[in-house]
Amino acid sequence: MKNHKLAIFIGIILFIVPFFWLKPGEMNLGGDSGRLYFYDPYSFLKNYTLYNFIASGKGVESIGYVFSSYTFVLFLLKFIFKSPTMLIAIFNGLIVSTAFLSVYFIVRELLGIKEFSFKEKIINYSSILAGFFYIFSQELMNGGWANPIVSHNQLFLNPLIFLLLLKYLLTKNNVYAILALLISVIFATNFSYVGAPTFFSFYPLSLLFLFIYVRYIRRLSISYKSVVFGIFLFLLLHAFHLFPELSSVFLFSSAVSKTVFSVEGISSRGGLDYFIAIAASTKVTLSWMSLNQSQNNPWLAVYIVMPLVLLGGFYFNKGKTFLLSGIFFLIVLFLATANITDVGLSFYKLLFRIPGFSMFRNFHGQWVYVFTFFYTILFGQAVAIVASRLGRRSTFIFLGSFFVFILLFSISFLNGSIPIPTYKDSGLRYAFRMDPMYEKVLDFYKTDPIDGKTISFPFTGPGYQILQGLNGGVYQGLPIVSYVAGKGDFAGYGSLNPYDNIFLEYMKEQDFGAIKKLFSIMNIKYVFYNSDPFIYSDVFTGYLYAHVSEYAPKSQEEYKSFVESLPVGNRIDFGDKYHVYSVNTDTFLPHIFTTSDVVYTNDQLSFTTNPYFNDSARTVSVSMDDPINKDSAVLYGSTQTFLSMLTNNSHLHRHAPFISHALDDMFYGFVPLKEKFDLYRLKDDPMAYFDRSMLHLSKRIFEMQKFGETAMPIIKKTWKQPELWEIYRLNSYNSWEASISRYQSGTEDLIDLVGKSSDSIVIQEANRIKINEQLFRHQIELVRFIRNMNRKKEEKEYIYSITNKMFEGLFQKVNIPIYNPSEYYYDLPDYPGEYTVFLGTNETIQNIGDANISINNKKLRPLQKTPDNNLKYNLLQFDNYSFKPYADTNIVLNIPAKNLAKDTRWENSGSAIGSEQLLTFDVNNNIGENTKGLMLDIPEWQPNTSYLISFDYLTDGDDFVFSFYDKKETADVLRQYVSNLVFEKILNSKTWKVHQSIVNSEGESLNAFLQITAFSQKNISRMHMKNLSITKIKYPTVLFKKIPNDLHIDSQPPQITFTKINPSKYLVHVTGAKNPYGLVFLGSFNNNWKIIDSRIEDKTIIGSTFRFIGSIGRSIVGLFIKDDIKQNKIVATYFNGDVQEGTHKNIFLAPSTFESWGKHMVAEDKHSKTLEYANAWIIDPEDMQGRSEYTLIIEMYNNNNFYIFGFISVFTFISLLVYSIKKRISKHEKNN
Amino acid sequence: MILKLLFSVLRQNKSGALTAIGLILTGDIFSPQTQSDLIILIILGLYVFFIKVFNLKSKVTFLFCFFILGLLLIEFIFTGVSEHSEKASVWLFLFIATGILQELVPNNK
Repeated sequence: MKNHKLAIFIGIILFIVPFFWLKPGEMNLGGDSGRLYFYDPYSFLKNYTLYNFIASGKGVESIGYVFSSYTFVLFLLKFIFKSPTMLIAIFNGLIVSTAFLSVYFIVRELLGIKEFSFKEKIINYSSILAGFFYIFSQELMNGGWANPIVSHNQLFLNPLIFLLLLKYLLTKNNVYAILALLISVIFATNFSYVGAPTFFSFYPLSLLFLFIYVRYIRRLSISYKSVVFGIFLFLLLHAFHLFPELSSVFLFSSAVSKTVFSVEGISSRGGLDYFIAIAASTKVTLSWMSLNQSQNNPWLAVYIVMPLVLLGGFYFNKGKTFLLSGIFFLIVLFLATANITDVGLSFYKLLFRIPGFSMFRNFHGQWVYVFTFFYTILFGQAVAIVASRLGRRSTFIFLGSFFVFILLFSISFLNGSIPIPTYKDSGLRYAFRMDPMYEKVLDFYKTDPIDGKTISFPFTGPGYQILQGLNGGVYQGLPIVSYVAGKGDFAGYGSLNPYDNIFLEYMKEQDFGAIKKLFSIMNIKYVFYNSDPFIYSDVFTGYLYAHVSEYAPKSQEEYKSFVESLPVGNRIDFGDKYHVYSVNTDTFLPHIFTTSDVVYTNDQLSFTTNPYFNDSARTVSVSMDDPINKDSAVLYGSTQTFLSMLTNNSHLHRHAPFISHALDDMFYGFVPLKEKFDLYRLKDDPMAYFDRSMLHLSKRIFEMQKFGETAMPIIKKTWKQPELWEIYRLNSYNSWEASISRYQSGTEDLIDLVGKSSDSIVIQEANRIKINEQLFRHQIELVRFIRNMNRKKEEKEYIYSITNKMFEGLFQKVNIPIYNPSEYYYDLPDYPGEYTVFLGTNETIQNIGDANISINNKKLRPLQKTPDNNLKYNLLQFDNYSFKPYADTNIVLNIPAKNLAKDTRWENSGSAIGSEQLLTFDVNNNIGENTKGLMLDIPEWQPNTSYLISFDYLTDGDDFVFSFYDKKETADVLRQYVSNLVFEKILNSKTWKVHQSIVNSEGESLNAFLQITAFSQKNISRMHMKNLSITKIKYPTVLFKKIPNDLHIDSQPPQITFTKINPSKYLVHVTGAKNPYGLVFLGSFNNNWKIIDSRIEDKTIIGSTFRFIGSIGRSIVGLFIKDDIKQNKIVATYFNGDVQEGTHKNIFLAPSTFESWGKHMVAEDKHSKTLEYANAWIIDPEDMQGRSEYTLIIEMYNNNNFYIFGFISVFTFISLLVYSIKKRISKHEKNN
Repeated sequence: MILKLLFSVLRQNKSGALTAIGLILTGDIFSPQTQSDLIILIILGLYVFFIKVFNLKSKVTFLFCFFILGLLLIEFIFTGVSEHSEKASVWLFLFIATGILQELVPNNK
């Protein structure tokens, strides 16, 4: 103990330091985890961690159990210390001091063995220095302190658990192992699914290190039985979160499972692509110097002393411990940087094929803690090795310099500037004092008896809430109302999914009628408006409001008027910044209600937002896959067009190939082999295969442009691709004929592949159009290059002729479909019956009287007199149609297209020519290609719209260039607009040909024009053109509404009273249920939501087992807690008393908790998604054995797992604690 | 016979051969070309060959590491983190790994 005095003193100082980082009352909350458990652990516990369904937005399944032990400890500490500031300071102090002391003791242990035989002082100071090196490492100081999430605890947990396991393996004293196990439970997040990257980055390697060290360096035996027993205890202790998490991982429909096992992880944005993107910016140099990846100042070169000491250690070392540490250091250096040779990087990429390895996609951030840990233990040993070679004075200078150096660079950390930063660019500080007025808002939500949701304005992009503190600091994180007050809060547009984009459009159009409908179906009861101008100022707009600001009001003044125009009534003001508005009673839909009608549809989103079909809030839709009510159905025609595959002008995409070997390079012969191999690897992913083939073709063109002028010879004979065995021809790729032949055969193969693929016709057509557009682009690039290259005239003519011949053949082969803008193709689900047919009209449609719908050789025409109500909703009614079973469901809508070019005129150097008439364009090419040519402005140009440009042309074999430009605004003060070339194509024909181009206008596009210029090499060239048409293409909605048969009777739904027991359990008392009815629960759809009839037992083995466990639970809990038997007071009534809402509770544990265990699940097969997000059950009287009055339980059934496994964990935890205390006492007694 | 002769010539020019390795390393680090695995393989193979031929100890390898670290420092001071400093870092990694392996696998010759 005497030797540790200094270290313990430093540890105490380090524990105290964080108490000076925050001013009294301040908290550094926010970010992805919110850290609201520091602010109000009790509320966080009861609203988030104890249940698997949280009230964020429309509610979401989330396994937050893992936070329960940690939050419980915080709750106990908050009970003692009251202040969240104190709580944060205690935990920060704990992290810094424990990390320091753990590293100190580890390095001491490693240095204290015989092979080193160092002096005590050297051991002591080197260990302290190592402790400083770890906590003040630039990587860790600048890493997770500024925005700490729970995984940041690994900073002290990694060395602490390592130390305890090392001590256990060396001494065989169980106390160390038990201590490690108990600590792991408190900080369970670091040992869970959410903490998988932190766990798997550190523990496998550390345990391997410990095993080798103990077994082969210290030559001690390891009791494998104890190790297995320890693992078993670990599993029992962590059962409360591990088993529910594991069941999600192996439930193959869950999002968790998809992340772990999906092959998408190998190449998707979530896996390898993400890794590759960040690997490029990770620098090995910085890691060697133990610097953060964001640091690059030349004066940081002083950090070279760190690797210098390591090298000194290697140079003077004579022991194996240092070598072992060195090996592990190199391994983690490789894992943390990835950029150790190309082979190393390729190997790293292969690791992503291991299921679950995609968790390391953000590899540097996840390996950096492990890297710093091994760097530290290597550094500590190196310091001791070098110091032991120096004289007394030199040792003093050497160690002293390091102490000064490390402490000097840690000043910004010690004074709190790094952990609680003020960002220079924005001036923001994310530590704040909670505004008492906002706390009143939270109290309002906590005590409000209605189980409704809230929507918060100003609306952010990522769903963060922004709140200004009293001292000017800012909270920017998860919506506080959701996690602290337990009420669902829509704080960002994404939380309104699937109505997110629709809501933004309504917001932009200020369509308050439509917003009212969305408020109803999203169960929104309150509107929270924060009128603080600061939170909607420029410092936040770039990131938090970037996308939303295109639709949202531009200022707080506009926001206020927007909010007050919403369907809201009563307003409560909390100070001058916070306002809570109550949504009107005719708008609010209760959390649970019975339906008046259920409609069967294949497009719930369109149905729900269509006021014509769905004017009643209680009319809800269910999926086509759930044939529940066969009388009410609305079918939406799904469009069958390749246009849907060409969004964002994907057909005009320009590949950017990279060439690493010249055609005459001795290794070029391997390039085609590599390309073949690349394609082979993508054989199971047709879309990626197609894209890669297109890239390879672009590469051929790029090669011709790069090497064609000087390096590529002309062989004037047919070139043949070398076969695999023709190794002697590996260098035969360097000629114009070879490149053209390879391009031609590559394109032909791709066209054949598209034709023979099993893709739908729509995809095949889209792919053919993509090939065609690329051919146009390559043709003009290559022809322009050939004309301008510096070669002999005869050579250029020869190359030009073979190039032209090739493109001519390829254009013929690709044979793109001719698009008829007057025809629209749809498909309908096969669902027989008699239907009323509607067409949703839009601004692109004209002459609707001439429209007709062809279906099964029958033409449906619009009704002579459309009802006024239909016109109000822009619906054109057609003749009725009767679908027979298994009939052809393809339909074609014919509407004359509106030609935008009808009254336009081509402009030609001042003169104008009508665009519809036959146009003849003569050009004198002596003045060159840059002649302005013909230009035509496209009228009625709109952003985000598809256009078809079509015309017939004849050029008598001459080349002309057809170009398309659009005009956008620029930020340049001198040049307000800029015209961008979208595409250009060579037109050449000897007979009349049809040309069609499809282009989608971008969001910022203001207007557009066409241009035709001469491109011929003749002196005089002529072009004829006719039938020019420019049409907007917008598929109108086609709907089929089923006509109910005579037997259909609208039944009166029963009366219900619902009461919330906790976030994952509701009681519904039903009376007067004589007919089938729909029961709707406005929370996110999840198969685990079940309706349970507690009076009927589930007779299966599983049911009996659960009932048995439940009865034990009920008896045990009944000893301590009694059920709340107070009368259920009604707090609100809806639909003239059809639906009543009882007083809500938040009961986690009571005897009644087990009432649903092993009981009968009602209408399980009739549970379906409604309103495109919520839950609906159709309950027949037979489901309830003919009863008309009963009580149902709506429950997230898998939440029961938490009670079972939670009990196992708590029992094991207490047993271990009691065992350790008892052992300690008996040892103490023995000693006495 | 030729091999023996080659070995004997090499042994007589140990310092020259090691200087050549140092120069090649310097050349590679300062050259504008991107790092090539082929070059790494050749140089490292040559160095391993020299370890065998000259019976080099790990200390020599770690001396090379000091040399590489010096080049890294020069690069960092003048250009910050650059393609050159990254090349030096990779060489440092490979030479330390070689040195550790030398210590773990004793040269019996």
